Amino acid sequence: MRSSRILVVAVLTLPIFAGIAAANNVVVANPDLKSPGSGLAKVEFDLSWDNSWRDSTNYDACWVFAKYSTDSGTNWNHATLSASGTNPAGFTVGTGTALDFVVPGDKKGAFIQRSASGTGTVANTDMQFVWNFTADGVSASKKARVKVFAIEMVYVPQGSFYVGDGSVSDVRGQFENGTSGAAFQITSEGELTLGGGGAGSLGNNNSTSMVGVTSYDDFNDTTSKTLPAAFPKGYKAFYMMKTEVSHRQYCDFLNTLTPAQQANMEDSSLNFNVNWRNFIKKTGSSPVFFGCDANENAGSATNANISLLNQTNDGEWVACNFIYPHRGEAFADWAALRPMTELEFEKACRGPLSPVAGEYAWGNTTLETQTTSMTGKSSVSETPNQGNCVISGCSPGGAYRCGCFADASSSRQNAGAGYYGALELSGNLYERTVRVGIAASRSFTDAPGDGVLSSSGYANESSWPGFVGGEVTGWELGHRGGTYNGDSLSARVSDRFWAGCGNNGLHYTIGFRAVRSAP
Amino acid sequence: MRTGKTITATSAWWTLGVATACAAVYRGGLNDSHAVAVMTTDVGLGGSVVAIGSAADKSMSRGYVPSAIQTITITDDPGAPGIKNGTPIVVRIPAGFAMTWNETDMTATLGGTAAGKVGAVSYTRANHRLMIAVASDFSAGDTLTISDLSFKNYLDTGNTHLELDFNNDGLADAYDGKTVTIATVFHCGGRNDCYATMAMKQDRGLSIGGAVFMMVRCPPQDIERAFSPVWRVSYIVDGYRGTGGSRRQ
Repeated sequence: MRSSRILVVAVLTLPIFAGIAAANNVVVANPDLKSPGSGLAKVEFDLSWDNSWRDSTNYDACWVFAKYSTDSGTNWNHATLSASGTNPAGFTVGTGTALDFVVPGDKKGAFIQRSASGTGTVANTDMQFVWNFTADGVSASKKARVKVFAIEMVYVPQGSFYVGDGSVSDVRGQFENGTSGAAFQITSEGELTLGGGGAGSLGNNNSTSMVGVTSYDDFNDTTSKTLPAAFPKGYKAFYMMKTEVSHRQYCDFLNTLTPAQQANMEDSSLNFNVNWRNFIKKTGSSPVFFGCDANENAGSATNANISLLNQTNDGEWVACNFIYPHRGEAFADWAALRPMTELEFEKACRGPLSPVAGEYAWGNTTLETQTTSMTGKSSVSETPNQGNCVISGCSPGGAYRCGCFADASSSRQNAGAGYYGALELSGNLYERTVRVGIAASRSFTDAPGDGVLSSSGYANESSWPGFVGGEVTGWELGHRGGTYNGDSLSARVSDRFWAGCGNNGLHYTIGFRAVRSAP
Repeated sequence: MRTGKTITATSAWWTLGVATACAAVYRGGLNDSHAVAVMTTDVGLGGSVVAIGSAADKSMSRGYVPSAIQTITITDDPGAPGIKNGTPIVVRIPAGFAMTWNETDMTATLGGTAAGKVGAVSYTRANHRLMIAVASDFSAGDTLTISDLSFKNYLDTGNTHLELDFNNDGLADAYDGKTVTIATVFHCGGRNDCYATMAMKQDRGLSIGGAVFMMVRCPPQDIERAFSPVWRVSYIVDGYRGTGGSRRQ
């Protein structure tokens, strides 16, 4: 039955893939500093992205933040905005679509999103938000320049949802209600009892078939633990990165760090490997520049020719692997975001719908006919010929371009999308999630990063997993959602085979995606 | 309700039928989900831009005794001068850098167009800050040179840049482009002391039986010159026997 079903879907969807015309394609352009005075300066920029939406369910947004330099681009620091709230004084969306600036209380960036229902391309010019440079300790007598970053996000609204999918076969630590085997509904951010078998507890199928059963999930049908109210459970609204961190995104992160910080955020010899589809190389001279070289013409991985990095087929847009958990957390801290919990992961996939046993992120159990080739390989338009999920069996192997299955007319299944529009939650690279099954991680809160890393380059948020001695150096995040060389079971929404494991030893399979609680 | 979200095999036809009308939420195309743009030139932040610069880099070996500074030049904004009467100019050693001004130097040699607009020097914050009193407003582009002062207690290693806070508001307004470097003094060590010995455990005879034993270390061509046309030796040393040499071809 299953094979015939896959065939039918594949036949029906092939024509749809033929007509790619649109893109999400977020672009920031023309950054500038305007009207400085009284310790404030306006950061002006143009912003555009395609396929934006706002409907009765949710909307997408861009998380926009700025880094400034007062030494002509040698060192970069996070810019603090002047005020929080929706459209604070002095902020303007410029000319174009009706948008809102939504600035969280810590003022480390702004969500820019449609202010009214609608779909299509956003292309606004002369947008401005206000940088409070005095708050950042910058003298008005300095000269400065800014880098403006934009990351596409999806809004996951507040509401109840289920974790666990009621699977009765291939059970691998899925969440359940008590010991019933049925899915567990999360209806608030209130404290939860993990395990123990009691009514209303969040069980884990007695840790059945999880890797490292006894060492990683510290609760089961007989042993209970408490998940504090402050641990983000996904009930409250949050924003999630639409896709996994891409190569160029990670390079842009590296390229704003000091040499001492870079040393801990990249491998000493890098992991450039076209078979694993990791394309990052660096130049040998100071200041070091990190870029991509999928076409392998830039020379040594540690002494690359800068003029031959980041060419049109150098793979900058491919999801980036080798992002060890402490590096992912550093990226999140730097971007003033935070890691997601494994409960938030399931919500982003399933939304408020009732679970389907064995479902993938797109809400059913259908894996479309797997990819056998791609066009535009390693380019901005890298597109698989078919399929909706990158797992073992896809060809070519390795991670694919972020958002590669979504096209001008794709459905949720075609796009491999979660309910709210996040892409590649199943397959491609493992998502790294905060675990409920380890004591150290249960003190995690929704505190976002502040844009400032330690002098060694690590995240330094004290509630974050792996925080030791003032820095996040531990490998504490678990794995969810499967990977390009993993089986289909791992790609299921509720599968927890690797959920309790901080290091699966397969670093070419791990990526990262960050979130932020909604203001 | 969102299209496609509950698709099953049996509803595949339904999915196709609505595909062109499905929500933008699941659409996509080129690129990833990331963008960045950077300014390529610096912009002033609205205040007067006052510069500080030393005549040359300053380098010292780690130590305590006073060491003369390089002449420092402070240049006020050429358009909107910011150094004002009554507000001292502060030249700071960066926080955390183990070095102080020599607080016994109370008489600096002052020069430049603003030499007559400043007064006495003093030191604060455990002698990490040099304060120069200002007696009248600077004019646009005024310069002030400061020399005949010194550093002491330079116990750090590495380099730093002096900081200027021309309006004494606690923020660094400018950095000296030249460096102050304290050269590393090697105090590294580990186990043991600085002495070693080792004795042979067996006696060896000192006679060489009827031959000359030579040990040379020189390029092969020199050996050939020295022993031309044929060099060949045999040796017997304390029971060891062998031959060696170099033969001209």
